[in-house]
Amino acid sequence: MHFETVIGLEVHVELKTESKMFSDAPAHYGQAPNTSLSVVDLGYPGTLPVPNKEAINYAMKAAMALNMDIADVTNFDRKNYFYPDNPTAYQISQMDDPIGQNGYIDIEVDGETRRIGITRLHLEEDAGKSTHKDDYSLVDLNRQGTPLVEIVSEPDIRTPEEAYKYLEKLKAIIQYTGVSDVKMEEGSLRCDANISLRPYGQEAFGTKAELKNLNSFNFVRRGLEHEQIRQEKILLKGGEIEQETRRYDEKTGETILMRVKEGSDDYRYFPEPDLVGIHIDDEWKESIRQTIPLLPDALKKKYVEEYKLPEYDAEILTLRKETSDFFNEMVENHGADAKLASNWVMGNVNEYLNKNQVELADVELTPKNLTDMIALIEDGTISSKQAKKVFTELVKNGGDARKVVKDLGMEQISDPAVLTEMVTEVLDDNPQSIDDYKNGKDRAIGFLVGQIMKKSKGQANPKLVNEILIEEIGKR
Amino acid sequence: MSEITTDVVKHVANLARIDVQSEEKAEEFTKELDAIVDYAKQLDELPLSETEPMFHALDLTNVMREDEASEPLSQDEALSNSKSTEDGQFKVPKML
Repeated sequence: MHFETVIGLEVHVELKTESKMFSDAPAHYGQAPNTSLSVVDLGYPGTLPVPNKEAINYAMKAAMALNMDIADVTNFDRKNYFYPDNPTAYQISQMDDPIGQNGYIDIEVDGETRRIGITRLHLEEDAGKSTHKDDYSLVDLNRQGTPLVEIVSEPDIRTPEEAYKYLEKLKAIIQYTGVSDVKMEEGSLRCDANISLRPYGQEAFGTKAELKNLNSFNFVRRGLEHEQIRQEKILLKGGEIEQETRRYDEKTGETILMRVKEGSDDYRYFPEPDLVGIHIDDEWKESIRQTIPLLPDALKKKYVEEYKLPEYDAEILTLRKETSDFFNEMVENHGADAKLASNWVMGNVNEYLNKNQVELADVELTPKNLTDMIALIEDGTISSKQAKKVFTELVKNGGDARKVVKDLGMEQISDPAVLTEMVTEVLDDNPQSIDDYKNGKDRAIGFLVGQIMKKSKGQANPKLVNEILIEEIGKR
Repeated sequence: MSEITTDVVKHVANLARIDVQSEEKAEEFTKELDAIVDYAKQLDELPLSETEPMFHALDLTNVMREDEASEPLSQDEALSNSKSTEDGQFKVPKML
């Protein structure tokens, strides 16, 4: 790149409350169209909004987890616009007094820690969802009024990769707080990106473009990669960047002009007259602070320092709360060895989940049965090769690891009496091999072990077989 | 004179989807809005530097509800005032 890239991200996160931000209609994803509504959501005359206390708690919790200052007084404002997905013709949002300001998160890029500032976190209500047909549109207002926080980063991000890492970390932190599902595919996490270029050393920002329709973290990265090259080409030719909104096209990987922005959007914000201010005293703040669990960075530190895991393992294990919960339970409740547990969770478990596009909650594997299975490998009951089959069975059908091993008939035979009997039979059948061995042909042992393994259908403990075999030959 | 001009009136009217595009109407509203703004400007004459700003006419704070969901409207009820519906959704003119 001939220029320095400057990126800022706006992330919207839907809060996982029972009811909506300003009405008592249920706020659940995946309902039949227009069945989660109250007269408040529909903007009927004479109705009044009443803020959901839990949504304010959740917003505060998220802001605290992002190292923000929490407002002593927070107010709502009205943002005016006409669009069919919003029957009130305005969105209740926050302008001057957001719940949280001045936070940050740390990300790791190429082994270095970068601190990305977060300007603000404010609370607002979501709008409905529209589907566009050939010559009309359909509107499902279920989402209208769902509590939403908007998290705005400082323009501190310098590369598309950093943007990706920022989103990954932000998502993990919010997920650990439990205030949102943060599922991009269900729209509970959405992202817009602002990007501009400037000559290295220049302080003033260049003209920025806003990217929309970024439906996965990968698309955010690719969209930004494409956009920085597009802008670079224009600037190198002596052209000027227009301030515009562009849409990322998933099929071509390009950004496409949506509209040119003329001045700032004129939303005519004013203090929401239907709501009064919210005063947040220290006691309230403290009660929320108490509910914040160990966050990814702290957990990662614990894994490295207490469990002696490599940084890389710790990073992967703490990307998703369900992964670290699973791992924690293995180690803390079932006594699994941390490194062995980590290897399985990061390796076979993640591989299976990715390959089948499922989540830990969707499979039958449990921290208990995976721990038990690892113990069976360690004590020699099953080989690592057999463990792969056991693992597949546990993931698909669950059950007790020891029982699965038995049912699959793969328990290793480690009983010396049984093994000695097999060894004796094989030696009786192969006198030539005994002679060969005694005449110095060591590979005869290999042949004899093979015969014993065959007899035991592969279940004999190979190490014990070797020991007993040498001993028995010596007796002849 | 205040800052209200016919251009401001037309712009705001357009944002609010009110038809004030004819000169005659725009001038009429300009005059009226100007008078209202001038009226409010009387406040500037009062010594208010020591007065705490109010954020709301009501002296109330922290009016909130617990996070409990009630029975929502049925789909039929939700759509009952719509002129046009399809598949349980509001049917509206083409957007975008």
